[in-house]
Amino acid sequence: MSSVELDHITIRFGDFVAVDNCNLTINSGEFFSFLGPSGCGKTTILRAVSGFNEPTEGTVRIGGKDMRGSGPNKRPTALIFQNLALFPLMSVADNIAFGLEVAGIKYNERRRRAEELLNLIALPGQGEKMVSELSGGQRQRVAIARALAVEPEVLLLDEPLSALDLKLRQHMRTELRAIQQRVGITFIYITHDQGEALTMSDRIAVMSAGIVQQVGNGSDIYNNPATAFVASFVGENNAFHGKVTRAEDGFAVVETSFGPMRGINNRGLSEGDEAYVFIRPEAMRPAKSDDTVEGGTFTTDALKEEFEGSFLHVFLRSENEDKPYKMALVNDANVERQTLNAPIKVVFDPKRAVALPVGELADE
Amino acid sequence: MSDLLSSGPVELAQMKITPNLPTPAEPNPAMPTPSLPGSSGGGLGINPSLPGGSAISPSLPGGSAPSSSTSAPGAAPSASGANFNITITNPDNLPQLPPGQNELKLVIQDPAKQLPADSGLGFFEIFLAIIAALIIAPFVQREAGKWTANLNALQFVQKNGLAISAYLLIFTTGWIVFMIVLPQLYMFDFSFRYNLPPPEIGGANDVYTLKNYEYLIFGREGSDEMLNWLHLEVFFKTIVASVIVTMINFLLCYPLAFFMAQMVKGRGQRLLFLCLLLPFWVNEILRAFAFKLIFAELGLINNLLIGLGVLDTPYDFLGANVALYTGLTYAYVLLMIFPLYNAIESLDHNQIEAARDMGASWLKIHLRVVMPHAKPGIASGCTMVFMLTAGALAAPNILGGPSSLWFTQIIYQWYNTGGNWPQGSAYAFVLLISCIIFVRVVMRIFKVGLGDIAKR
Repeated sequence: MSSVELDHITIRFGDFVAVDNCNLTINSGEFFSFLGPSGCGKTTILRAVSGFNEPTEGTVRIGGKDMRGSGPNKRPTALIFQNLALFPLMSVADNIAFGLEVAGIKYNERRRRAEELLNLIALPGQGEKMVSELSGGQRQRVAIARALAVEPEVLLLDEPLSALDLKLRQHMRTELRAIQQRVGITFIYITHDQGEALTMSDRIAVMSAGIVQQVGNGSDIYNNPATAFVASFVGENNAFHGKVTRAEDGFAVVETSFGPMRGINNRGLSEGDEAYVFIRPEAMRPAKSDDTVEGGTFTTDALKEEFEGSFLHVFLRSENEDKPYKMALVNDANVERQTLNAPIKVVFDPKRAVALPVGELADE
Repeated sequence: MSDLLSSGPVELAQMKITPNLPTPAEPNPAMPTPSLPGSSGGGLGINPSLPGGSAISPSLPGGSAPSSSTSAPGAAPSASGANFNITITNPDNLPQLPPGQNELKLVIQDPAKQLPADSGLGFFEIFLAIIAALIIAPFVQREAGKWTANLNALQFVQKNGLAISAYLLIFTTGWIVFMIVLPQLYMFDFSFRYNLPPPEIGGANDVYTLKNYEYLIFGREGSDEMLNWLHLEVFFKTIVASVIVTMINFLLCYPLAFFMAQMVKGRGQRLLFLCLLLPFWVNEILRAFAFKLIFAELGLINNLLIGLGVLDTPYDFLGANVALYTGLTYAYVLLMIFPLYNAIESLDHNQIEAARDMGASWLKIHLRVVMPHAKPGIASGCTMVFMLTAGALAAPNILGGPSSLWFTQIIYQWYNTGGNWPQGSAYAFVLLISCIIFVRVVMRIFKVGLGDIAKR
């Protein structure tokens, strides 16, 4: 068990900056996720931790020890690859025991450890099978067991669930989390799937273009995004563009094309700043005839509805034809179907809206 | 001891001498053992009745010991009863019979009648064809299996259209029958026959015999030795040397193939391929001669070593077979590199990284991950290099030291200078079968199937 410190890490490939001054500490025993779209530099960070590439600037410390100069085979880390990279010519047990084999541990001891790990991943007695005989989820677990066999202090996972189908993926989330809690070592998890990151992680670092945008736990990141990118990348969000007209009491009023809107101002916006107000789909609802919320009301057209079971999604006209706003209504007994292609008055609670400086938006 | 490769000048001086003997049961009892240097005889079996050493040896490779054996010391006089048909292509080089040599009756023959009419192909071509056939056979086999599997010929035709299916069928059958089966059968049959003069072929004396095979093992009847050690030794030396050459080749090529397949990408990779390929635009024989020049006594390497003070006197690289092994190794380097490259290239790089991440040293990574994956490619490359090395003729002829003899050279002598095709066929067949058995045994040991090789 070890903490991982990324001390002002910058990684460049030629002129391209893959990771720009990343500075964070991952606590011992923590399930930590790097979340970001592909190409944001999260895998590069992982490879820097595992030792496959060295940071151009800065230091990686594992358990307080500077890792510069020690190769992947010398670090107390184990990496689970996106495609798992199991050895197809070896049996399951040989796969799991590979790390022990190269460490020179005797055959019987290796077998015993492999069997233990097979029990841990709920595949007891399947050690003699070939990897090709296993299902996707089983392979996944074998890959985890193989990595755990070397008793790493830090387990690194590079989108290991991305190849699985949805059901299995959801199941494996729970299982991964359970395994992590059983073995108690530090997990660093790379994903572009916010669902995975939110459900499993103790803390999440959201990355974009090589820059860590925000570090925090799931609800922090979802409810109090620090940048426009985080707000638009994690979960669904509606962005209203405008200029700040007033900033007071922790709120900012932004004059948008739909009128003034209030949102929480954590980033110190002041009058005249260009800003976005982000409102989650589930924070909106159609106004009853009489209710108005100060800075929390706007009128637009309802374009279409999509019934999704637990939610009724209503798409609303926005400034951008291609990206209508989205309102999500909980399907309780009295959810009302809206009149389409007619004006609709929408209200939201400004406490659930966030005003942020303009910046890059994640494109869905 | 003329050879295919130096054929330009030597062929001119070549004499084809076929003894016409009255006794077909032993048509050529004194067929020569291709000589080791220093021994008289020069490898020409023209003298059924001159036991003291053959009288005529017009050509020797590379001019080592030129025509010294024409002296026929103590020439035995009893040549009576033997007629020789001698074809002299280049009268200028006619060796001079020393005084006291017995009289020869020279019958100048039409060369076309010298050998059986269907002898257009030299051994080397046939051998190469066999090797090619063996390499391609698994493909053909696999295809054949597929076809029998869906026996519905109509379906096959429907699927491919008439023209294509006809082409495929004719091409594959034509290939198998004319390129693989028939030549082999022909040679196989030939190896069980007596070496008869053309008029007697198909006659009463044209019967089957095991004598050609016996000769390789036991030597000439009535010889003092129990076994034909001279030839057997060359045979085993050829096999062992081929194994060594194959192993050296593998050790040289594997790191390079790995580097090219897993480590470099794009321009660097293309450049490396080009560097490997370009030298092979140069003719094999020219390359062999170039090696000879480099390794010669006054060649580049000796000059360099002497200049650097490593050596005082030139080292005989040719005599020590250094040049031979270098040349043989280099000759088939591509046939090792490419199967290895293909096999290693298909390995997921993540597996190497995964092994490394789990603490494996580079040696372990190669032994446990890369090589098992590349096994079919390794088998394919090693098989090709071994087969071709064992069957090589150019390099041994040009680069071989005076004391070295490659088994193919003996075969070539039987066919060419010896004019004894049946004997040559038997020798060639023994080499071919032995190589196949050897390769199959090694493949069995390393648990590689024939199909695996074809995959690469």
